[in-house]
Formats: sequence, structure tokens, C-alpha cells
Amino acid sequence: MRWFLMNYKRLILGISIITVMCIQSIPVFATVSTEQKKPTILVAYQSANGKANSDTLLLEAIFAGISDQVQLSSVQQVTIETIKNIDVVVFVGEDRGNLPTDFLKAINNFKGHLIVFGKNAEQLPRFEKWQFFGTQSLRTLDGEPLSKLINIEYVKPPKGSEVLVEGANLNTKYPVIVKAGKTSFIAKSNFISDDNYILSRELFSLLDLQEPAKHLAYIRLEDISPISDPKLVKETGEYLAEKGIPFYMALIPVYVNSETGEQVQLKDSKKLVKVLQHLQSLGGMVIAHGYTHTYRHTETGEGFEFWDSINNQKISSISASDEPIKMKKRSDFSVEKAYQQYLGSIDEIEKKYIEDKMEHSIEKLTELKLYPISFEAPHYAMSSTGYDIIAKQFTSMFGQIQLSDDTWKRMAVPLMISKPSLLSGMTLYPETIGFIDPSSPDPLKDMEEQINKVQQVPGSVIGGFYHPYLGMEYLPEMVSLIEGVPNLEWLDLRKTKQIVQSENIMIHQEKNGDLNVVSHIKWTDKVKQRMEENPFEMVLWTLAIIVALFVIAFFIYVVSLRTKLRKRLFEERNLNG
Amino acid sequence: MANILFYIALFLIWIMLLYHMFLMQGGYLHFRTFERVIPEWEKKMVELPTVSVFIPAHNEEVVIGQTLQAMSRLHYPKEKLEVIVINDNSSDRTGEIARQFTEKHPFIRVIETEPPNKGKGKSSALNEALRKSSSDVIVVYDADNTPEKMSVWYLVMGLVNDPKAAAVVGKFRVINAAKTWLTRFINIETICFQWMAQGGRFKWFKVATIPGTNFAIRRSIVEELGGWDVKALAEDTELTIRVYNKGYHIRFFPKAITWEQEPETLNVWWKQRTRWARGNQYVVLKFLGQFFKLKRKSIIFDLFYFFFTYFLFFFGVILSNTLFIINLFYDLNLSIGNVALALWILAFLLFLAEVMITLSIEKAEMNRTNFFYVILMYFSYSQMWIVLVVYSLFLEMKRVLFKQEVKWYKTERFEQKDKGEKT
Repeated sequence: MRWFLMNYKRLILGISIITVMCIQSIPVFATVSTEQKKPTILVAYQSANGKANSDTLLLEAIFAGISDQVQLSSVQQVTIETIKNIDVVVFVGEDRGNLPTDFLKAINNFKGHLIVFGKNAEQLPRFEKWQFFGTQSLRTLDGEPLSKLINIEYVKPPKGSEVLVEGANLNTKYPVIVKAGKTSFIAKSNFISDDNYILSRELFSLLDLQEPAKHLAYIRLEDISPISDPKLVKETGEYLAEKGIPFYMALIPVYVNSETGEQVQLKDSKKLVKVLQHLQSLGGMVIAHGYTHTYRHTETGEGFEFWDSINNQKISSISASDEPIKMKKRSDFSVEKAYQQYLGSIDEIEKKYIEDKMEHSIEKLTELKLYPISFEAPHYAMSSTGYDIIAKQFTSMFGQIQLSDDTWKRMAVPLMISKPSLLSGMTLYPETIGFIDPSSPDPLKDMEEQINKVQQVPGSVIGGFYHPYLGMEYLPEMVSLIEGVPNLEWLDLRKTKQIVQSENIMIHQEKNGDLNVVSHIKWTDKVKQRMEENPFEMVLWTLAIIVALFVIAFFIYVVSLRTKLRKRLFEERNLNG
Repeated sequence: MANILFYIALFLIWIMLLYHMFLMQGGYLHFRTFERVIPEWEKKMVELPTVSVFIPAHNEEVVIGQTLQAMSRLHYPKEKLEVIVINDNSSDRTGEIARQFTEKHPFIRVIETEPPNKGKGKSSALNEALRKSSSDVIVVYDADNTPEKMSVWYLVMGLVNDPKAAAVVGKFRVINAAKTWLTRFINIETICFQWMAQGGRFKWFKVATIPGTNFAIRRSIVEELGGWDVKALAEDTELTIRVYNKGYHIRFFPKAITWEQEPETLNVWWKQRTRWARGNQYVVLKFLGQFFKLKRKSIIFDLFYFFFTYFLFFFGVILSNTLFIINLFYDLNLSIGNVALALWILAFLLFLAEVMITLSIEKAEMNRTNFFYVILMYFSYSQMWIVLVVYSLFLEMKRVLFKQEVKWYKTERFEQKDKGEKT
């Protein structure tokens, strides 16, 4: 009987395991069967200095939205061997110059899709029949007038080619995006402006891929800092939660007053913390939006944190009291090696600064039971070194990407969820529709136009943000504008795998919605940190401990006095008989 | 702004509490050690100095009898002891009762104050007696005191064995402790004061204050100092400072014990304490001006302590209370967190522990009734002090501004049914 019972238990266990496995594997099969196989893409660039410039970086990011199998490399590195398993080669000709023979051989040998941007296409064997006439300028593109002239490579494609997009200067029309079977030519390589939409729209036909039907969307409640009004945060958050929208809260754990330098900690705004925890329980997801949203003395929410906006350069000083160093240029150095060494030393400062700040941010938020599952850079500004560091702490980020290490103004965004190589492995959830700007005469109209533009691109993300200090004034309209996009689905990071880690904390967001948090913050670290934040309070706690020890000692004296007294009385009684 | 004020208040209060904590530790150590020297000191009690016991009395008919009864039992060679009752302008039977004792006990005598010292208060009375006596040592008792048999002996023992001591002060206990709730509080308070302030300060700094009664002082020094300051309301504090300034110290020797009456009604208490508080404020202001001229660093410290007690500490307490009340009605956004609560609880526990130690030192004082009184005390009696200090500060300021003359208020006495000596 006993034997039977044990085996019976095992049997039940076995059955249930199998059942669970079946249930789990069904959706896996389903997704595989409906989705197309993602092509492997190589983005090969050719530039004078051998480095990818910002145009290339953006193109790489745009292609990364199509496939998660995208490599970026210089043409110098491309050989027959390296492109053996590649489905699509994207060539970006940044500067005029001779292409390496190995690359030409490899391309000659290559059977897959070849997409060429910009210069030097004439050197490629596949373009033998194309005629190139040098640079031309355009006044309109895709039927829309341009605010300023843009330069393109003037090409006459062979017969039978398909001109997908063309531009014009006065009455002359010029092809801009041309497809000839598996070979395509795009007459320019700069897509940092609105041209991005046109290119992204055409990508699917260029690669003979089926256009995705649905759009993902998100709303971020932006710049929530310790001085945010808890009432308004609650109102806006609850509204989104009630509508069943998985929403995001970009939190700044410390507010710095730019005038006094005084810091307000999130933990001190107890009402706000309660509201945020409550919203988190309703499905609001936390994004670590920097630590103070300031670099040196700028005001929280207004200032940049990971970019020196005053000098428009990378971070070059750690503490607020240190003056930032004005970055030297290559011309200040006689040898390249010295310059590189110098850049390296600045990088170290920048790395330490960013790493420390985000460590603090993650730990501060986690301490308050607000678990960040993604990152967003203040003003989206950050150098590539910064992205390297952040990628060690986060697996994804929100916003846009800064394409240059020399200016924050080269900012762009791929329209689909992607893992651009610039972000060192992080997934980017792109912000594409901006925010409600109350200073605009008609902020909702602005947003509507932007949404219309973005939704032209198949599979694009409709991502925007809203400042809770505006209260409910525009939020319902903003939500209905987004919900007006056909085939819309709200992005829910709780259904994705995310990892956030600092030295002492590990946050795992699992695809099944589970959130696992492991914290190894030692109490000594906590004390040390609090000491730095509020030295006076720590002095008071030290005082309290000393006093407590004395109180204990005093009570011991009382006990000892009483036992002695009892003895004394006893002895006296004996003496008195 | 509110934050800064709050921190200031916290700072002022806790400096005071920490100092008391430190004194308590000293007081406890003093209790554990002060008796150890006695066997050695007894050996020197061979050639004894002559002693005059001064008892200033102004309308003390209620208590003087029992006081002299206790004096007559003093253990000291009678040929070297005289007890002088200074009958200061009494309109009752004080002189008559005292004279009855002189008949039975030749070492007791009564003197009458004469102008200009007549009716001017305790300091003047003591100066009168100083003029009319010649012993080596002067011991002072208030007219309501019943010293234990050995008290004068121990006071003199201290002087004989400690040549640097100008004075030796003993311990006083409350004879009517169980009478009213007020005397219970006062009993607890005096026990605390003696072990913390007197014992603690003596242990750490060799500083004790002359309490106005139950102390012995060398005549040579009193004369060197020119007697008692007639303007001082708290002549004892004033004398203390001058003694230290001359380079001597005052020894606290709790082996010498006297029992004294404490006010049984709030009205009497209020008047007595107002005089003390004003007296001490007078002393602080008098010496604060010459702060840096004072020779002895330890007494500068002590003056500073008084300054803290009567000015800064109360300022801190009042400030903190005000902030607390304002905060009830209007959110001041005080940034301080749990630590304030922790400190508040600790302040209470510290108070409790300190009082319990001192009560435990005294036999039978650490009982259940007193335990509840101690807890009650923190919220009632201790708070009454705040009002009192503010009031006396007001009076003292008025006096300085309008150049009023000081009037000595004599503490009213109460008849004790149990007139026997207590041990």
C-alpha cells in the first residue's frame, strides 16, 4: 500500500510536469511558425578614418529594427569568409575612395540582398550597368518640399529597376531609393532627419519582407522626482492603469536644487513613494531616469546628467565642485598616441561618474521597493562610452540615441524596437512621438501630426511621454490619439526578459511576469551612504547609540546596586540579630 | 528655517543631557569609592580643630527645637564645639526656645543680629556670627535641619585630611518625603541632584557646590574672602565660585548626612525655587562678565553649566516645544526622521535610569511608589521647572532694568509630627 502511494505520487508529479511543459511549449511553436525567419544583416561602412560615423550608426540601428542579427564592420574586415552566412549586406559609402579588393571579391561572390548607401557604388560589380553622375542637390523628397537642399548621388539605374522613392530639383526628378531585384541603391546615407521615416517605410520591400501589421505603443510618465506632486502622479498613473494600459514611470531618485545645491531624497517624500509603490502594484513599470538628472549644478529635470551640455562634451569631472575640463582636440597633441591616451583618461572619469550615479539610482529605487527594469538617459544625451557602461547595468533603455561623441545634437531614433550596436547590447524602446508640450499653441495637434507620420512606417513603435505635473489636462486625449492607430498593442515589459544589476542588486524581470529582486546591500554600505547624504542625521544616530549604551549600563548599575543593597540589609539584619 | 531651529534646540538639549549622563557615571563611581578612604582618615582625627555651628534663624519657632535637639546629640568633643543660633530679627518664640537649650547644653549659644546686619537675610546673619566667633572651622546648618550624629565629625574629617579643600559639603535628605506628592518629587530631585551634580562633578572635576546647609568651611578662607555676599540671593553658589577662584576646592563627602524639610505646598515651593533660580541667574550674570578673569578653569566650566541650565537649555526646550506645537497645526516640513523619536525615547529612558540609580544608592528609596513617581515626575514636576525658570528670568530682568533691591524670602517651615531623628 505504501509502495503504491509513493508511486502514485510520482506518477501525478510526472503527469503534471509533462502537462506544464506542453502548455509552455505551445505558444513557443506558435510564434516560430507565424514569424518570418529574421535575415542576418551585415552593415559594412567605408570611411576615410576607418570609423563608423553617425550616419552609419543610425543606418545600423534602423536595420537592427528589422532583425536582431545585425553586424557592423568596416569594409576592411569584410572577406568571403566573414559574409558566408550573411543574408543581407548593407554597404555605406561615407567618403569617396577605393574599396579594398577583398571586400570587392566578397561582394562579387555574394548572392544575397545588397543595399548600397551613398558613395562608391560604381566600384561594385553589381552596379556595372548603373550610371553615376556625381553629386546633385534636391529641393523636394518623396513629393514633400525640403526645408534646405540635400545632396544625393545622381544615378541612372538600369532598365527594369524599380524607383521606390524619388526627389526633385525644379523639374528634374532624381531617384533616391531604387530596387533592382536583390540589389538596391539609396542615393544618400544621412537619415538623421525625417528621411528616416521614408527609408524605414521602404525597408520591407527592399528586403522582400512581409510588412508587420501591428504597432507597439507606450506612454511614459516623465521626470518624476522627489518634488513631484504625489496627487498628480497618482491621478495620471491611476488613469492609465484603469484604462488597462501598461505604463512606465521615469523616476529620478534625487532632486537637486540648482541654487542651493540642496538635495531632496525620494525617500523623504513619503507620500510620493507610497503613490509610486501603489502605481507599481497597478502595473506601472519603473524606469531609472538617471540619478539626479543633473550634472554639477543644473536643476533636476532641466539639466543633462550624463553629458556636459555647457561645453557640449562628455562628462569630464566627477564631483560637482570640480570644474569640468575643456576637452582638448587632436590638434593639441603632436602624436596620435598621446591624444588617445588623453581620451582614455577622460573616458575613465566619465565611466566612473556614470557607473556610480546609476549604481546609486538602482539602489536608491530598490531600497524604496521601486524596481527599475529599464533605463532612460536624461535628455537622451550620452556618449558611446556611457552606453557601454549602462549596458553593464541594464538590458534595455528608453528614448533616442546620441550618435556622436562630439555633440549631443546628433540625436536620432530608429522607429522599431532594436538592439543597435552603439548601445552595446541594450534593447532600445524608441521614443517616436515626443511629448505634450504645453508651451505649444496646440500640443495635441502636434502630437497627432507626429503620430500620423510615425504610423506610416509599418511596425513602428508609437512611443511618447507625458509630464504628470500637467495633471489630467491632456492625458485622455493623448491616450485616445495613440489608441486611434490601427492594430495597436501596448508594449508591456513585464512580458519581456529584463535584467538590471548594480554591484549589490540584481533585478530580473521574467517573460512570465515574475519579478525577482536580489539585494546584497550590506548595512555598512547603507550607513556609509546615509552618512554622505545626511551627515547630521548620522551624528544623531551615533549619539542615540552612545546614549542607549549608557542607558543599558545604568540599568545594570541599578540591578547591581539593588542586589548589593539586599545583601547589605541581610547582613545588617544578621548583625542586629 | 524651522529645520535649523529644530536642530539648534536638539543640540542645546542634548549637550545638557549628555553632560548629565556623564555626571551620573561620575556620581556612581563616587558612590562606589568615597568610603574607602575613611579607615585611613580616621587615624588623623587626633588633634581636632575647634568648630562653630552656625544656625541662622528668622522666625523658626516651629522647627528650631527639634534642630537643637539634633545638635545636642552631635558626636564631637564638646570642648571644641559650639553651636550658635543666630536669631535674626525674629518676632516669634525662636530666641526663647533656643535659649532653653543653652541652659542644658553649654556649647549652644544664641546671638542676636545687630544693625546693619539685622533683618537683612541669611548672608548678613552669617556674617554677624562670623564676627562673633573664633573657631577654626565653621559649619552651617539651616534652622530646619536635623543632622545625624556623625555629620559634623565627617565634615571636619574631610577638612583635616584634605588640606586643599576650603570646604566639605555633606549630603542632605528629605525628612518629610512621604508627606505630599510635592515632597515626594522634591525627595527624588534632591537625591538625584546630590549624586549627579555633587557626586559626579566632584568625581570628575573636584567641583561641588555649597548647598547652603550641612557644610564645613575654614574660617581663614571665609575671612580671606570677606564673608558672605549680602547682595546674593543664592549666597552659597556665590561663595562656591569665590572659593574656587582662590584656588581651593570643595569636597563632597556624602558620609555627613543631615535631614531637612522641604516645602509641602506648591506656593512655598514656588517662592523658594524662584529665589534659587533668580539667585543662580544673578551669579551667572555676575561672573559671566569676569569670565576670563576667573583663575580656576573647572569653575569656569561650572559657571558655563549654570549658564546652560538657566538660559540655553531652557531656550532649547521652549524652542522645541514651540516647534512641536506649531507643527501640530501647520506642517513645518521638518526633515528629521525616526532619529528624533529615538532620541526622545532615549531621553526619557536616560532620565529614568539616572533617577533609578540615585534612588537605588539610598536605602529603601527605590520602591514601587517612587518608581511611579519618577515616571510621573518627567511629565509634571520637571516641566514645572520650565515655567519657573522663565518666570524667575523675567523677575531678574525686571530687577536689573528697574534697579530693584533684592529681598530675601525665607522658606516657610512645617511642623513635623515625627520629631525623632531619622536614619
